[in-house]
Amino acid sequence: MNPTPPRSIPEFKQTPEVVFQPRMARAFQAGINKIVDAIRPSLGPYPRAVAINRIGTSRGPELLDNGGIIARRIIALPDRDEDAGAMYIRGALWNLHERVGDGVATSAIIFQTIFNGGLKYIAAGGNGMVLRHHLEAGGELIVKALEKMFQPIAGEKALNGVAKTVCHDHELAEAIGNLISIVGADGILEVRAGRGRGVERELVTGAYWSGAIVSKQMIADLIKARTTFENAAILISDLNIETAQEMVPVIRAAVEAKIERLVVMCTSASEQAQALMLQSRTSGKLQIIAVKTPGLRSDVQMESMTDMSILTGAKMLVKVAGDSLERVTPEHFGQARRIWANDEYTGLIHPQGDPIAIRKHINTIRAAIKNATKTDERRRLQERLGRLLGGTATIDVGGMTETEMETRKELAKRTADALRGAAREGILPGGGSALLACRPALNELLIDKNSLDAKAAHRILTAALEAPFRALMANSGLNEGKLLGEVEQAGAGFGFDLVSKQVREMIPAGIVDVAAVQKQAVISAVRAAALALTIDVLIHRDNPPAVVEPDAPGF
Amino acid sequence: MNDRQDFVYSLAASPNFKKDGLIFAAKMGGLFRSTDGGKTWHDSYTALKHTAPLPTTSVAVTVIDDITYAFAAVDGKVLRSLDGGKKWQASGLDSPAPLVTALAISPDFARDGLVLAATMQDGIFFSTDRGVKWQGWNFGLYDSNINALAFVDSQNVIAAAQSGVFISTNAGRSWRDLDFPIEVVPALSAAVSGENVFYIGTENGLYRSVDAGQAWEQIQSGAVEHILLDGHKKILIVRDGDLLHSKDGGKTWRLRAGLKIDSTITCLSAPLGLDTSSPLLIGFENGEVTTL
Repeated sequence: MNPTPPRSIPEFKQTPEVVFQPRMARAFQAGINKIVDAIRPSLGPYPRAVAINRIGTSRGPELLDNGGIIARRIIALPDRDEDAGAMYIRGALWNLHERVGDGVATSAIIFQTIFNGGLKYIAAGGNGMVLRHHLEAGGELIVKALEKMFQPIAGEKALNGVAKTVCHDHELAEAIGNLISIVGADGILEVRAGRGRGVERELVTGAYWSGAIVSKQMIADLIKARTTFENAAILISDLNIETAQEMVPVIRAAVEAKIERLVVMCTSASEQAQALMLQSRTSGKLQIIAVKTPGLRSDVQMESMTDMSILTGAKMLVKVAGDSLERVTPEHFGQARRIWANDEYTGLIHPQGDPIAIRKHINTIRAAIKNATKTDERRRLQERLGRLLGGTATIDVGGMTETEMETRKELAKRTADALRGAAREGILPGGGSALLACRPALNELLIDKNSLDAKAAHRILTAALEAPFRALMANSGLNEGKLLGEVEQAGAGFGFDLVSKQVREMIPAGIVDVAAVQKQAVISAVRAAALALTIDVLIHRDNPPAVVEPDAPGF
Repeated sequence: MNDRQDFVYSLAASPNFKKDGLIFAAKMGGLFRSTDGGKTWHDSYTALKHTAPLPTTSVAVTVIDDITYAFAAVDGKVLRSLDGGKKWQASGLDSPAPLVTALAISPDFARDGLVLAATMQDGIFFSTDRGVKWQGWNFGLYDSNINALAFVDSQNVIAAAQSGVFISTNAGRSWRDLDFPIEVVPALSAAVSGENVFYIGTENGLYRSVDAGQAWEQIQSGAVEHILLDGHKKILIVRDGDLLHSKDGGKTWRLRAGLKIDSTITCLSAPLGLDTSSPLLIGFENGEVTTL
């Protein structure tokens, strides 16, 4: 998870000021256009790079070709009026990038077209609030039209194809396509920095949490540096075990339950308690190890403990609820076919909790993901869901230099997010052709023939749907107007293949967009631009906030 | 084949049954083999020279290029035979030893060599080299208790589990749950007719989906432990111990005539389809196998 980028405070004088029209709109527009014009070259299969100076180093500028990353790197404009507009669109774009991993350039171009077209209409006497209403209604029509075009995608080959269109890196695309085809849309795919130049992948069965074994002396397999218990029980708690005496009721309950191998999860265990557990290794009857409760924050600990309890069928012991080890009974123990722990993690393989309870819990988390409004919250829920579904894939991304490795790592994360979207909702004809095919759906806006605002919204949104196609053609040095006509003549699903330089049916040609990405790109652009058109006054404070909040309403 | 202490877990007939009459019965007392359509039975494990019976929980058979492949599940292992069940080789699954509940062979076995082994507690194992090596791949399969498997085609396969129904679209490498009504689980049996028609027998009725598992309708009540299909219309089920059949895709049901039941039915096999003139082999809890 990438934290929200900090916004540095510009160097201009921070005096409070209220800015009215027309200065406000002009400056806002200038700021927005600067951001979008910086991102625009990154659209398409042959993106052009944007060079950004590095701060605090004599190294050369950073070369970027991804809209989301470019948006993230632009941290301030010198004119504070313009900066307000720039930061507004940056927040919307960064939020989109975090949410779906792609589609930033498309969204930026749609936003810009709507905002500029809307400002023109308002300047000519149109009503911004009414226009917003019609634009948002039009946005919904576009989304519905896109949804009708969604085509499901399955299989590694198809996912590889989509990955290639997202990242243009064959090695990375094949690895990520393969892993997403295995872990699915909801599975965990960890992207890590690799040591070599290439890409390495690994699949880990079961779920694991960051809860280390409390003492290295408890590690039984010194070669693999881990302990694995088969047909094991687990006691889940966030308690501190301070004396060996506290373990007595636990051992008594374990013996009563005929448990032979037990993992005790606790926040800490004293040396005496550890010594007692280590003794158990030689006794043969009941072997015990202790592992740390996952997470540092109490809410993260509670979530992890809840998930593990449901997976294993354990009844957890919670400090704040006044629980202690004194009253441990056999019902407190959960079960798994295998439990492993090393000096970083604790894992469960085939936990034996009630499958119906697990299914209900998973469905609750899925519903929470749908309703989550904060990016951070959604990510955390997705991680939990991935663990509950069992299995983690990891990909180690290397590169010739540290910069290349970091760039590929970022690309890998973005591609994985986009592929998850494809696995969930499917794909669309690429190259801007799906958006072009949505134009007839906007005719519904014209039902009220007397509404000038509706007509304006229709005109603006039609232009916005054409804008990504035009930008793609212009970025490749082609005549956009002529090609738009040729694609229109060819019919729905057809577009212009920038590689073979011909009009083709996009999906069979492997030129596709991820449905979830396109949908979110449109939703984000229409909502944010329509809202921006209703802003009338800008207030500069003497203490501007240090962080742009991308989850602001309307985005 | 009538041992009061025995139990028939599974029956599997050769695809060439009409010609070779080969059928296996996986039983508590081992694996039994008949080459005359179930009239006489012989111990299939003779070559293993085991002194104690080898409880066998599932069996599957197919024929490719005149080689009769048979797979039999014993404690923590899958046995493989290339000669129709005379000689066997063992492959371990994993530790601790899983209990295999069902074996399923890919419809495209000649090309992909894929065999799946469903287990109670340990999810699903798969082999892509015709049963030599086995791996557990359970991404998305959060319920490790699997009762039945049914291939849709070489890539798509459904699994009936304690908490519902799962589908794999990549030949068993990963799974996702279908939106199956939770109030009727566990899912006990599964059968597939064509690409999109799935049947699931549960503790609380027989359910059918005609859209590849998106929506389900109940077409029979009671506990449905076994389902056999023949084409789109003929269905045979074991419901609450009774043998019911339908000739109109589940609209009307009749008790199958000619069967005296004095033990619980544990498995079925209809090697030549569900016509009343075709043989139907029935395994019972008391170890008996009857041919109707």
